[in-house]
Amino acid sequence: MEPRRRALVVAGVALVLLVIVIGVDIAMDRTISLDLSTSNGWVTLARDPIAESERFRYTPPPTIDANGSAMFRIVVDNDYPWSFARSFVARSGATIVAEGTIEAPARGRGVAEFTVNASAIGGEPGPGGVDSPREKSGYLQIEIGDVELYANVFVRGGGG
Amino acid sequence: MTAEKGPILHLRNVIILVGILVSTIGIIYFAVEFVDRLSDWGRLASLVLLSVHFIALGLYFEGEPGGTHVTTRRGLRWLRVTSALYIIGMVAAFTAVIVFLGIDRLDPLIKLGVTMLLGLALIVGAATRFRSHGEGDEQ
Repeated sequence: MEPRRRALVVAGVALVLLVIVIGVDIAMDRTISLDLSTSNGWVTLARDPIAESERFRYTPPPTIDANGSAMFRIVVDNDYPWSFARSFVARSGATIVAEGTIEAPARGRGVAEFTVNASAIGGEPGPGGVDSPREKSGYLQIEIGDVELYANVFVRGGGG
Repeated sequence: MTAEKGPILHLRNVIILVGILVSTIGIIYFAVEFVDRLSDWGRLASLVLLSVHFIALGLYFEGEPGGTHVTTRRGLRWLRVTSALYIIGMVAAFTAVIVFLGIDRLDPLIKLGVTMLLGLALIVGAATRFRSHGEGDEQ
């Protein structure tokens, strides 16, 4: 095959492989979500990537007891043919409230649970008042590798 | 007196250059829209294949018997289809190296070793190949 024709074939093959690589990679995905354990089961607080239909949907944050602790979990659904392992750090403001490692096998699911004392969750005070339970809007920031999840919870109760 | 210089612009090569520009816009759009949706390895493979594609096209047009100049105007004869293709291929290759060095999962020593070996291989390989091509052109 003459060099010019060979170069054209190489260019064509590279283009076809490019389309295949992009198609296959986009078809695979990895979803990371942050769930909170409630009396109604696990409630998803944040997810990456987030569907466009959910991006601007408002969901009232769940409420946790200020005198207790809250159990959270990070769930990784890994569609890639290679395993996933990252360290994670959970912060509330400048305070690290939990840290650990999350692992997911190839084409599998990984779960990492952690518990946070409600008193460690920082946030803005709620309306409060004499006859109303004291309440504050708490927030968490979870860093999993280069993915960041943000979640809000209401912390109700505590000193009056 | 016959017009020996011919047209100032070679329409065929202009159209090819427009196609290259449209492809470049497509690449930029791809980078903006899909950079978050692709995995690190997917991005790396895409950029490597893009680089191979455009450099191979440059090699194809380099052998054009009629030349690949867009214009015959003095001072602008550097504007050739092959130049544009090679530049896009080099930009894609350069970006692929940046993406490779940004992959967190790889050990930094491995990234350094692969990058340096690849650079040396390209230098030595190109120097050897074009030297033998230069000898062949004399025939």
